[in-house]
Amino acid sequence: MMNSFTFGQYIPGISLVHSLDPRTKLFFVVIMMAAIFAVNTLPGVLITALFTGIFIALTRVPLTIYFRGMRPLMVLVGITAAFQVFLIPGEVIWRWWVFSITDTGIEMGALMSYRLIMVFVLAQLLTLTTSPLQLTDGLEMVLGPLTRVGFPAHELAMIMTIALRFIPVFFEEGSKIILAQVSRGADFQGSWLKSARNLVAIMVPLFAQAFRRADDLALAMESRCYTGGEGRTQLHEITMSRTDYLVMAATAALVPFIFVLRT
Amino acid sequence: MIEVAGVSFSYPGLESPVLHDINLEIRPGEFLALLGRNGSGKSTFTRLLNGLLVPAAGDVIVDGYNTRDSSHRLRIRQQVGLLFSNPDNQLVAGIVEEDVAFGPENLGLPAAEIRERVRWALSVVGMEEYLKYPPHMLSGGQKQRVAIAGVLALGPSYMVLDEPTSMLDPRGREEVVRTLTKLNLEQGTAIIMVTHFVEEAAAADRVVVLDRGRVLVTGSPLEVLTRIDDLADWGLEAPEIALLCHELRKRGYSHFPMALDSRQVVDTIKQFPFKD
Amino acid sequence: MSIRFLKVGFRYARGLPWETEALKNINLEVRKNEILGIIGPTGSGKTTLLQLMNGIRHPSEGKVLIDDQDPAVLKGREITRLRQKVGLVFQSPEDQLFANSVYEDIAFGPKNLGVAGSELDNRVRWAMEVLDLGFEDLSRRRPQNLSGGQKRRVAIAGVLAIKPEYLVLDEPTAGLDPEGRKGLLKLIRKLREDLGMGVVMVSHRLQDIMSTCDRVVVLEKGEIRKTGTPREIMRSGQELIELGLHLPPINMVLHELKDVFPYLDTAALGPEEAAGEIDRAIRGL
Repeated sequence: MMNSFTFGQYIPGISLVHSLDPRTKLFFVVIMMAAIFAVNTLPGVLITALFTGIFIALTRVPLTIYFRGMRPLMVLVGITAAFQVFLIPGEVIWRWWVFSITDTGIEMGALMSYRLIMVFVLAQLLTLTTSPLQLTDGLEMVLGPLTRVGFPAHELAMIMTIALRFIPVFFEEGSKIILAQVSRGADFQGSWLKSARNLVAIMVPLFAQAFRRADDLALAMESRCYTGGEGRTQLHEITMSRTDYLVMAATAALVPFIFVLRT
Repeated sequence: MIEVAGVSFSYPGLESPVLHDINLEIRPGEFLALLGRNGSGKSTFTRLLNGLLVPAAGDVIVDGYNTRDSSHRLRIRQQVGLLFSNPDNQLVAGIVEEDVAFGPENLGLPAAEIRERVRWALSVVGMEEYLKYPPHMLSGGQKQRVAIAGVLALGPSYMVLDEPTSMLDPRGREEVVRTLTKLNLEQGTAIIMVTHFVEEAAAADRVVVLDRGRVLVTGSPLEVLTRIDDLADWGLEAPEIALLCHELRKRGYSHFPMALDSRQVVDTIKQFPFKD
Repeated sequence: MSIRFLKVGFRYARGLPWETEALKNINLEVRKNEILGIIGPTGSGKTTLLQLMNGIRHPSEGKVLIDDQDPAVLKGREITRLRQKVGLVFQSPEDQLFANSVYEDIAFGPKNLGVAGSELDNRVRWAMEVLDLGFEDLSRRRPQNLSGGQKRRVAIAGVLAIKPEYLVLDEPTAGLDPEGRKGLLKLIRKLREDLGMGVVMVSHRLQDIMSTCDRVVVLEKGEIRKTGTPREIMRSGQELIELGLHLPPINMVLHELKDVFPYLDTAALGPEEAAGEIDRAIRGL
């Protein structure tokens, strides 16, 4: 069930992109996403696509994995594109009943599809090549300066770590509870009202279990000398290498182009 | 040494105390098994030993530091590791090595030292090959051994375990008991293990039986676990091997030595003078 | 009337690279008025076998017939009705309790099947009585506030209240203390003796299986290796050890005495019998 859903999974590897500092990858992804939403001309699209394409090639992760991860999300892309195509006014090219397609519509539809696809591709580029822990460590360090103004960077990273740890546990737990209640005659094909009542029989034990786990986990963490982020060190200290700076510089160099390529 | 002196404890809102006037000394390097039926106060007791709970009356003193004094809290928790029964609920990180590193990271140790401790702790529990595994790919026994390594990486002198095997299958149970015995013998870590499997208590140096919040008896496993009739009163099951010895005595072998270990019973029977 | 497995195979993740064969060529009959025990090392397919018994999973090969009907070809209400014949109690079933009172939780199953009014009330009272749960004391209590053994029995009562003809239990005694375990095993025997139900239980505690079941199936790597009475199974101690099962310590002793007393029967169930057997062997009888 969950095995067929690959979006957001980490594929261990030794590629250049894998070995980059998570902060570099975060920087690259954020800049690229901004660029992709900023550009609205064909050259702009081509340059951002080329840049991302080079990066994808460097990850050494087979393209099929990117595609498989995105398959369920293509529905979203389709719906968004359809909205653009049919609803944007402009010179009408084709008309049938209340539907009409305009040239601007097609242009905007194509652009929006491109943007969405690229967002998914970039998100995958990050998660496919960065272990969840590196990612949280990276986030914690990037957001670190904000702790001075009261932003809970460490707590946020800790929450992410624990969430990632327990997702598989909850999947297993959830499917077991569903099977158990189904074998007590719970039925999810019947009326809405009945289904809702049966949902309670699944959600309540699932949450009860989660709270119990949270309770235990808090005790276990406290017993292992956890007192919050202050004074904590890391097993894997993340350090920027020369390649990291190079990649960051190249990414930064893209920024002026984006302004030029906007109309 | 952990000194438990005149300790009582009750949870807020419940009038009857969970523990009454407990007195016990836990020596460095000893293997202590704590037995008792459900609701006898065993779990509460474990949480008093590392200062997660503070006694209502009396004191718990760990190597000279009183658990009441919050300034010693970290030192005490580092000295007295605590492990729970559900391995899934105490692993923090999604990768084995990251989880074992959690404790040393909290102590603020340098990365090189953390790496060294992680490697060492995982090798003690025999899980060094699983460094990069996510916990959900491991069996129950393996998860519990990783959890033990996580506590071990703090470098404790005492390891307190609250029913560490109750959620495991026989193989997992054996793995965990073997790991603890090894830890006790080779590293000299004191083991304080709560269990309701009397067979596991046979491996200990000393057994303490709790009932309704009081210490009923302390003694060697052989002394305590062969008191067949008393065990039933305490809500415990006599070890099968002890029952076998008892039955043999009833059948006229009145000097048959009581034992807890099947090996020992086999040897005794084989050496019987009128065997042929 | 029985649950019959005809050449049943089961695969997880069919067609995917991590496809695994959990069961193969299982031929088995679960009868009424019988307690069938299933033993086998972890990962031998015990839980999958149980889940096939009431049709929440369907076999990849072969057929499972519940009283001659095949749940795999039924739909809608018919499958619910057939499933109702086989109550399935999962491992640690107390984790699935959800209602605010013991009464409501036990009533969940029968309500789903359309039972209402005084019949519903009767069912709940009956199930609680069978499982030794005092109605006056416990029916209004919150399940969360009960002891471990009581919670487990409430969860089983919730399955019993759908009035199944067969009850299938996955590790019913795991995690209970000795008192809770003994009490529950007694109740399981009562289900067969007083109600004539067909009971199937999986346990990794061989003592529990041997003291409770009429017939035992040994499963390994998804296949049935052995079927027999508890005594017949215990007599093949060496085989069980090789399969990675843990013999009760007493049978371990008997097993190891075999080289000095070749005619010793290693199948003794419990210390008293074992002592008698050793006594006989020593006296050369």
